[in-house]
Amino acid sequence: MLSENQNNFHWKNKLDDMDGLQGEMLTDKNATWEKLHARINEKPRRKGFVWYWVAAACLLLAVIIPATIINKKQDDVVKNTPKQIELKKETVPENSTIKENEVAKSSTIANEKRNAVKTTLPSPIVKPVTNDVTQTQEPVVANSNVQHTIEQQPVFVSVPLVDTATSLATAPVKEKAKFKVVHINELGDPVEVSTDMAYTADLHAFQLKLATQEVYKNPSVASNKKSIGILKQKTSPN
Amino acid sequence: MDVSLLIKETKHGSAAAQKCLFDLYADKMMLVCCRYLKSREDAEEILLDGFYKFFKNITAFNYQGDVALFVWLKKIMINECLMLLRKKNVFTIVTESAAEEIPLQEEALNNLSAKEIFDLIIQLPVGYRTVFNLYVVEGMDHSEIAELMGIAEGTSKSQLSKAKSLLQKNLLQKGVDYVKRKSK
Repeated sequence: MLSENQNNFHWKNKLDDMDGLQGEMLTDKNATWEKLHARINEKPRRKGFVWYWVAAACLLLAVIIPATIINKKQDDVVKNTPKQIELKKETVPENSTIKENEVAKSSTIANEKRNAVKTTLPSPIVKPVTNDVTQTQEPVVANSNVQHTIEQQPVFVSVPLVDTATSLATAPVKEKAKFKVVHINELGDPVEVSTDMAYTADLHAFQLKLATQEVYKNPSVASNKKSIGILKQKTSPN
Repeated sequence: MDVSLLIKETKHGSAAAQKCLFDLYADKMMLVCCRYLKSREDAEEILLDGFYKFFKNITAFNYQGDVALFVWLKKIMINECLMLLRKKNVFTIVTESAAEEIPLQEEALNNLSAKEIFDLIIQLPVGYRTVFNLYVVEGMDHSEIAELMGIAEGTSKSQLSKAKSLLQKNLLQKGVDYVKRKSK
């Protein structure tokens, strides 16, 4: 029994025998040590550092997402509101007091309408434009030689939560025609336009071509009559 | 070389003391690792991991003699080897009922050289080899082995039985070769 134990110890001891197992040992101990030494001296990575970044990103998202949603909602509200008058600039010819009055009227009407739909419109900005092209963007007090341009800023309306009856009552304001801004110099010489000529110019001219190839058309004749009157005129060479 | 002094210096972070300890135990630990892992690269990697853990946790170690230090270091290495084997998922052993105990021919083993015994163990399949190493060489019992390897106790027993029978077979083969060599 004792000899068996001794033998047992013997063969197990052989497994730790370094002389008999030279081939299984480290080939380059120094290189292995260098690797180990580098690893020991390596600064441990700050694992928590990553979490700081993640937390910061989450915070940022928590701020940005609600802000974006709120902004989007506000945009939707603005889109759903009746469109305001997009009349930004309006040119008024020189010495035309009638048109100035009309502009004043239209602006007052617009103001009334705005009050009706409970909107907050900023007061129209009157920008004076001088005859001199080079002198622009200078706010000058309006005088007789100055052409007025009315500029209206876009209006943001907050639509209240109302029932159907209220919404029907507050019908959207019709979009007004947008006038092109024309400088006074582009207009050329002022022409005296009578009201009659203006009326006839609005009438549509039309031509008729008959089987005899005679063309009839209505001349632009000044007429105060509101009914359509066609004066036939033979224009064919025959 | 006073190992206790080396341990003390290592605890204070002396690189020279660390190197001395490494030089002292590296080869022995490499043999331990090679007994558990067939691949030499894996064994070297585990050796590095084991020494790294040893130096990192040396402050918790109370020096009570060279043997205690060797045992502690060996335990670290064995644990690292088992962790790697578990990571590689090599312990896919089917649960088996305990096989009958087969006595190992110790005398035959004694007649063999260290290299021959080492080769015999290394040639065993990974499951057999691990159980054989833990039970026969390290002296653990089956419950400990089962816990370490994450297998049933019965499986550990059957693995050991099979390992022993395979080893006997290989020993017989070796014996025949040995006899043939002697007769020549």
